[in-house]
Amino acid sequence: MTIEIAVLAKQVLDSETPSHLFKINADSNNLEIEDNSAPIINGFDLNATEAALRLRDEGHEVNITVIMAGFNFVNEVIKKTLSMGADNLILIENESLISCDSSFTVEVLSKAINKIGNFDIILAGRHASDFDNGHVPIGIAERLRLPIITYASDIKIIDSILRIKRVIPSGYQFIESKSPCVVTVSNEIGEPRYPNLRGIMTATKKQPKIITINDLEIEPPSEKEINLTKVFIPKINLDTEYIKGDDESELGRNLAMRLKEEGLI
Amino acid sequence: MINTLVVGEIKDGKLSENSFDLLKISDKLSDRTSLVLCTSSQDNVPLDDIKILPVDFIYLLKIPSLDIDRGIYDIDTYALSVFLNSKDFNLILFSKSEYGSVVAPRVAFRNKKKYLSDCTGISLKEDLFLIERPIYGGVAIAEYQVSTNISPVFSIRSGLQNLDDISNNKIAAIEEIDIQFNEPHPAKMIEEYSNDSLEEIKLEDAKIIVSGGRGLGNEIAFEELKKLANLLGGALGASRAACDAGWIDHSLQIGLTGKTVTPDLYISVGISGASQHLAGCSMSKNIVAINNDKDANIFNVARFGVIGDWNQIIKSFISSIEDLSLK
Ligand SMILES: Cc1cc2nc3c(=O)[nH]c(=O)nc-3n(C[C@H](O)[C@H](O)[C@H](O)COP(=O)(O)OP(=O)(O)OC[C@H]3O[C@@H](n4cnc5c(N)ncnc54)[C@H](O)[C@@H]3O)c2cc1C
Repeated sequence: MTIEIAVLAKQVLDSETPSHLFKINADSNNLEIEDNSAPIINGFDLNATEAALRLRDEGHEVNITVIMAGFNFVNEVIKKTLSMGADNLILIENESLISCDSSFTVEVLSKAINKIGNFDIILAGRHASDFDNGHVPIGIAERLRLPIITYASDIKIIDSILRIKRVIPSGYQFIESKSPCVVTVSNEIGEPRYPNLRGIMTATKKQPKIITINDLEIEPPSEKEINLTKVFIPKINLDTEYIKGDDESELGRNLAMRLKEEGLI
Repeated sequence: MINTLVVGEIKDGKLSENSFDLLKISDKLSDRTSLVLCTSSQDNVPLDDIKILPVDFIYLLKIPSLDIDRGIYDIDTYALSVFLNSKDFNLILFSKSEYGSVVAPRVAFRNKKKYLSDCTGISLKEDLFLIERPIYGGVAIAEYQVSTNISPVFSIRSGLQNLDDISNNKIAAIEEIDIQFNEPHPAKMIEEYSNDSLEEIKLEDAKIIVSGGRGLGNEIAFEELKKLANLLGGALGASRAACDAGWIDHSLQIGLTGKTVTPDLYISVGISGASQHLAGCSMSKNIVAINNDKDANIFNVARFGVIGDWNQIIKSFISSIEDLSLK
């Protein structure tokens, strides 16, 4: 039997861009990148896509549907998961989906998941690297009343039971869950694969399926209960004291003396 | 009147440091502070220590099934939701621990409440909570306004500095509430493994941390840093790039998605200082940056900078310390 996997993915600005290239867009009250470089798929969502593809590599018959909710999608960017090997791509585009209050995103994705069909596993990144909140997959699990297992670093399916290695601060746990369930994936799972040429060709031919919020019979929220009033880039002005020395050995020695002087070591 | 609920955590038989910080925050902000703790029959709750803190009410949720499975907090989520249904608060605070990062959004969504995570600033202006939280890994700060009428849930970043010390002259009233968990429970924890070894100093407790990044180039380099950490009586940490490369265990990762540390001395070696890394270490009292790129971002937060190749610098740093301590 085919295992139906949904992967939730978000298009974001690359938060690993050097910080001096970020600036504030006063109109949207959000950040933008100076050289207008292309957005990316949130890194953890690529980890989630990788987790789904590994289940296929392990011999399971899987059908992978990537669902993206957002706004201003960039065609080359959104196709990334298809070129990695995902089977289908569904886009839900609406301006309210980039609001700082994710309850609307949760509602939209939950309804989309229900409408599309019977998913056995819903995977998502542990959080999106723009607002760093990490509550959309958790909200969806609560709304759909499904188990939620966070921070997965490995997923196995044994006799239709999921066995998930879950990263915790002091080590890790093994969780067993029946499907359907929601699992958030962390970078510990390992690097997402690079798309190969065949993957890229296939992805070029595939067209994403569009779902609108009308299809889902949802209205965008009229009133905001969480108001984003300001975004600013903090200035750090620390007077760094540079250790002097003619070569590395002297630098190391002078550092030791300086720290000793300050009573820090 | 602001009536706040702090969701506390018990660690090693004590109220966790983060929970204690939440009480301080609540004390400043609210007219009434309640503390709720989910406890199993085995938990040893240090009530005598807790009831003298600035808390008006302590609710002990006694949940027998917690003995069986605490893994992914299904039972804690259930118990807290049941509890919240019976009480009214204007504000619910969790710490952004692993527990808070999972349970806070679950409780918020289950009880149809608004939620913001990882807040670094919270204050009150008339009937609004003013919230500050970092976004894009800390590249920017976002400010929010949330009405006190909707009783939002916030998780608060740990290790925030400058929390006022509290004086207290109240003794909390304690109420025990029995909660039975009979829900379906399709996901269970089977096993748990800890990487913490007893001899080693925990990152969160360390006064000195030596932390390595991609600039170290390989796994063997970490042995050198380990030697330095031992010599200084400190702990070893790493950037995500070094962990992802497999040079060092992920449990030593410092940053937004790793550990938050606040040592007196943080020596970063071959780390560029990405905002997500700084999110976990910028509250250190003194940062030393060793990096061969004079423009590396890490120098912006460093009190002491050393520009050069780490390898030779660390070797001579180690031997100088050995010499200095002999004197
Ligand atoms: C959502 C999200 C969450 C993240 N969470 C974390 C997190 O929790 N923790 C974390 O650390 N990162 C995190 N990151 C990754 C982060 O953005 C950076 O990619 C990472 O911190 C880079 O690690 P690094 O500084 O070791 O590597 P690099 O950025 O590659 O820096 C290496 C540095 O070493 C220097 N160097 C090279 N050779 C030498 C030499 N011989 N001597 C001295 N210096 C040398 C270089 O000049 C450079 O500055 C996260 C990213 C995202 C998107």
